[in-house]
Amino acid sequence: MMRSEPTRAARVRSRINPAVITSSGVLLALLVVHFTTASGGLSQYSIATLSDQAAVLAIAAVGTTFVVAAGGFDLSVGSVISLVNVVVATHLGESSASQVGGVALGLAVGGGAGLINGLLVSVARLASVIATLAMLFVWNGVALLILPSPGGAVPFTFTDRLTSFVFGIPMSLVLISGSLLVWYLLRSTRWGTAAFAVGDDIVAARAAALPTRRTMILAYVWAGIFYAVAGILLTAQIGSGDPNVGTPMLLTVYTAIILGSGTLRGGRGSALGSVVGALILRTVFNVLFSIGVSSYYANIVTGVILVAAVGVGSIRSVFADRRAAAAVRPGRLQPEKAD
Amino acid sequence: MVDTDNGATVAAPAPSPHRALTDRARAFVHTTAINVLAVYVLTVLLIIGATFWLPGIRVVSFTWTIVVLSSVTAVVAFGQGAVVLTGGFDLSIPWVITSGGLLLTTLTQGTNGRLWWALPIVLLAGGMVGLCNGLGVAYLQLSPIVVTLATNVVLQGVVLLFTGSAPQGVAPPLIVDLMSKRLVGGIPAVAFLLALFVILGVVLLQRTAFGRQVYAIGNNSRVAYLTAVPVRRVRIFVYVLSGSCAALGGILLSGYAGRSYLGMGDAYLLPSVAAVVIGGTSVLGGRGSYVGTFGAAALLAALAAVLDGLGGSVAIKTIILGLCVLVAALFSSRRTG
Repeated sequence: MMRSEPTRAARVRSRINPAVITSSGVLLALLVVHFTTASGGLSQYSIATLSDQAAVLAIAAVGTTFVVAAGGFDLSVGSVISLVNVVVATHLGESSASQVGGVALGLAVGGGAGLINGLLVSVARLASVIATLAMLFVWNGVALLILPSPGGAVPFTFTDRLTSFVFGIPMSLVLISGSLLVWYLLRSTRWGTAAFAVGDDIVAARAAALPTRRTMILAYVWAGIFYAVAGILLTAQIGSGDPNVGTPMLLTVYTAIILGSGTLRGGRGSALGSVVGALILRTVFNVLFSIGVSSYYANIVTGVILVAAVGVGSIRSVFADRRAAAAVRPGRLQPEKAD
Repeated sequence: MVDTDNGATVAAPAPSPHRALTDRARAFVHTTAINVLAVYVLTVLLIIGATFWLPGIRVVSFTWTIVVLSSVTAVVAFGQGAVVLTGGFDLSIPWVITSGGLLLTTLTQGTNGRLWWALPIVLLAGGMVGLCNGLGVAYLQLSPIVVTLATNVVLQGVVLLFTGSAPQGVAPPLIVDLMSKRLVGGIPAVAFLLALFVILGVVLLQRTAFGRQVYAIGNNSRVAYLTAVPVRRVRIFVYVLSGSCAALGGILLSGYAGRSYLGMGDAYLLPSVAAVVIGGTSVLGGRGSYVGTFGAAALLAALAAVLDGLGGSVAIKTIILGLCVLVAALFSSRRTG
């Protein structure tokens, strides 16, 4: 008997990650709290502020999601952003041409760093943790060489361009949306499908004759490009270069991804989830700050949120595994599925 | 004798002796043994080289200097190595070191009298942090990177909470002496402690049932579980071990610096991982030995000292350290599929 074609609704439903729906709900609730307690309420200005604050993290998290989906770990996210930051901050001039050049240079640096990561992981076959950890320190050192202490010259016009409004929408929101759009475009290409396949089961992917090496390299390259975008936006926002600016981002990026998609497992991952996670983090911080909690605790809060988010997700899956194991009673065959 | 398809038996073709030799040579190059040997040879070469490149350096005294310089990394890398052997990572080392040092100076208030109860408390505290890490990894099945990253940051926040941001505490004189005084024959006091530590560490990993269980888990945790290895308990214990070693490292470091200060442990994360990887331990777990790790810690200390003497900046040292890890990982005996 032929299985009936899955309905369109069922197909759409199967592609939406349930965890993202949960976290979007959490975000919605938090946003309500945020905008009712913040001074100025819901206005174009307050939306822009939140968007500006969360954008760098959100875009960086989308970048890392590429690598996580392909089954790897990218520990170099913070230092690549620092590197792009110092490179761009030391190569901007007043003229538009030099600013475009600076941006292009930043993108090249990010993509290049990603390429190196990708080559180390797929061609040299190093474990992604070791490769990206080593590169984290190399890029840190390079950033320190370029700019030993915070400085650089970021012209006001540059900052203005990246923090202003486009048709009433803050630039940072445009960039976040752009990142999501690029993610979904890439996701629907052959490479996108291959990346998820590789992340899920690299042996099976290879057996299915997928170009696993090229796929992984591209995942890291795209991640690097997104880090570059985040770094360029960050440069505009802080108006200077700082070789250590990205260091705390390693933790926050992974917290955002886990908050949004609930897992770091390969073969899964949603840019929307990562953006939602970044917004949740930022909103929580803002709410805490507005009730008087000092920024000292930002670190503890991030760590606790991370542990809570991962712990909850993991407890749930541990119990699900136990339930599934208990459901299979020894000595009884599973009934054959009618087909 | 080989059965062929039609039932006849024929002799298998004898492997040419040439082929066997090169295969064996290639296999040998990738073993841990040659890795460890290379590490010690390189260290010796560096020390000898230093006498030529740097003014006023003499081999024996420089060697002892290296031993002292490498002591913190050597101690911390033991714990990190044990964790890596099970296939994990401990990224919480920086702030466990700092917490250990700060706790020691706060409890002892710079005197020797309280050491006898302060020392065990500090080591215990490090172990408790490790316990949290271990529980997260073993029971909640969290990724070790995520758990230890979170622990590191939470610890940082907690320490900042309790100390504000002012520089803290003076180290007790006994610990300071441990790190600075030389005993018979010009041998540094801490060298004796290190020798004891290395012996205990190697015995623990290579000669006890616990050590074998650690290697078993790293090689194949499923098989280990099926052969009645208490995987979860062993996993938790390696993280406890790592936490205690990091706390011990903090104690030694506070003696070396004379005081403890915020962020003192930050510089030791990379060297601990570097020493483990360069010393021949595979990041996939199950392969490696503390002998190699200790040698790599000495190698890194020698490298840092030579670079310092030649005028290298922190930036250059960080880059070279990162590159060394890459090179060592490339020559490692096991890589991903």
